[in-house]
Amino acid sequence: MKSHFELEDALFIGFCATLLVVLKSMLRLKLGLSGHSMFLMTFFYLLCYGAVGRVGCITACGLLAGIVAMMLSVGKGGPLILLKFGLPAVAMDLTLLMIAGVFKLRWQCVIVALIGCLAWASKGWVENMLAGMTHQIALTKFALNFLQGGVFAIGAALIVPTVLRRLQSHDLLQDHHKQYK
Amino acid sequence: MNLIELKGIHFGYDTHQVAILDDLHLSVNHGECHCISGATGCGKSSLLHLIAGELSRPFEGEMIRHPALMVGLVMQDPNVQVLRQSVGAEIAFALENLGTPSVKMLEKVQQALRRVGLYISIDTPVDVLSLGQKYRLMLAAQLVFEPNLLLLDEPWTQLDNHGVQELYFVLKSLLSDGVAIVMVEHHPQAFGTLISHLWQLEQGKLVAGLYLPSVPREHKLNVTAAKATTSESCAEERVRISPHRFQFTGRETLFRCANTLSLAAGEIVALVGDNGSGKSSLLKALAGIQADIGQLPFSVLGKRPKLGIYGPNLSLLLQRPNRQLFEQTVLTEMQFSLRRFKLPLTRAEQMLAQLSLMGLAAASPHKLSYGQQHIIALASLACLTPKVLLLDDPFAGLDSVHCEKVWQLLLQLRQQGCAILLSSHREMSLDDVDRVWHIESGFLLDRSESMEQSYAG
Repeated sequence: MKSHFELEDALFIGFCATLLVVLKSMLRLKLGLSGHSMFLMTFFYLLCYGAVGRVGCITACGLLAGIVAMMLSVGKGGPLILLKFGLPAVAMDLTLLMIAGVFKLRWQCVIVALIGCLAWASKGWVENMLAGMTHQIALTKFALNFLQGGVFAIGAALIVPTVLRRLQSHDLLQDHHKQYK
Repeated sequence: MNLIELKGIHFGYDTHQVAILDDLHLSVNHGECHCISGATGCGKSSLLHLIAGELSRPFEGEMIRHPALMVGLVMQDPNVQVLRQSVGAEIAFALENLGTPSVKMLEKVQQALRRVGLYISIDTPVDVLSLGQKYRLMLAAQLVFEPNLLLLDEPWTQLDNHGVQELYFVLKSLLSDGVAIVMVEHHPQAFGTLISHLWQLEQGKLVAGLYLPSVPREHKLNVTAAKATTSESCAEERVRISPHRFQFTGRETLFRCANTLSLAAGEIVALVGDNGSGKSSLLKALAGIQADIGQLPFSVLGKRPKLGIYGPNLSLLLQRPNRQLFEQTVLTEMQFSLRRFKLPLTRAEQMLAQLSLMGLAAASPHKLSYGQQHIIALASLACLTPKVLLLDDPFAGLDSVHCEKVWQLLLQLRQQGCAILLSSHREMSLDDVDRVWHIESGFLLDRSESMEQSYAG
């Protein structure tokens, strides 16, 4: 990962965060499937990581998306929407600190996506516990959320390397020598 | 102090590739006109972008700029640098950024337009301009802020003869005003005595002289033999253009066609006309992809042109090749249509080998030079061996070596019975093509017979 941070990086992070919130608010998918929001979230976070390649870029993207969503009243949760976007982002960034460069990009994306999903499901678990749900039901709900969110997150994670390769072939990524495999 | 001085510049796009600029030295001073020639894809345009300071990639070496340096750049594909929607707004963009009072803008914009020979309203939408007109527009957009260093990328290629002549006088007056010019050009003869320094870019270095590879001219048509062959094969008509008025919906007539024109199998016909005369629109209309044109009495392969009905039998090379390149490598790009139409994929490699372009097989087509993109786009169409091949300015950005390769390819397709219609804004010889259609003074006509008589005379 590179150590410096440039204007282009900031613009791309802002672009990913804005597009994530805008798409989420425009589509308003009522699929009735818990966890489908993990698809867009994972996709944009990992795209941001792949394109910017700097520690903290996912967190920045997540917090920015959370702030924009909070200001525009997108999704459920009021101010807690910041946590919804921010928590998985922080978890993904922390994971990348440990596994960056260890695996191939595809596996790295899958692992990071699952950790992000775990953080997202944990947030729901804590909320349920605070609401007075029993341990057993809260845990079952957590497992179900993780499972459903995980399917969407892995789907998004598998797309990201292809998108990055396409961006690289169009000369749109700064790290021109990196191989996105 | 020089306007700009480059010392020992090393620059490359990828670490695993050879540096395209290697220990390059260049100094440019007021009133000098430098012309750089070189093989297609050797790094000429990259050098201009480097001088303009708009390459984000790092380079080694020293670049010393005069504090008062003001650079104007007109790229090879002017569409890349168009920012606004109307002609006036596009030219005024630089003035807005320089903080010019709005009351002075109108006069400056109109002066710049007149200077490059564009006599159109400032409210004209940029979209309706042809590529050559857009090139002039971008030139006006640079001249309006009075740069002291003007960078031009292959003006001869994009401009018709009239445009080149006008540019000649514009450059002459700029040079006399002390403006320095650096141009990349395969045909410096067009600017004759204006050029004070002639360079060729060779192995990353600038060497004095003109790039003139010895290319045997082998593509000359044997017209008599061709006609004999055509009559033998009963000259199957592939394209028929009946008399019509060619005009966009709600606009004035672009040109009229008074006689029926036809293109037969095994024929190469050139469509010649000035910038903005309607060549590209006609080719698109024949391919069935031109919008706002209404129903025209065209017949291509016995059908009224419509998008998607011809499959691999009709191919169109667009004037901007990057509009039809989308895959991640050159090889996969060439294999895309072959795969789609269930044709042998090996044709792609054979075609690359034939054109001596195997070195580009793994490269991204989006990172290639304008000329290289042109030849790759053409090669990917030629692989399909279509029955009708429409080519919009296929030689743009190509050096003589690559031009000869393209001619050989076209002759090969012609022998296989392909009907080829290619557009050009320069006159073409009947040694090169079977017939020539002209768009001039608002008429589309076949002038081959009169040309043949003048040749005979």
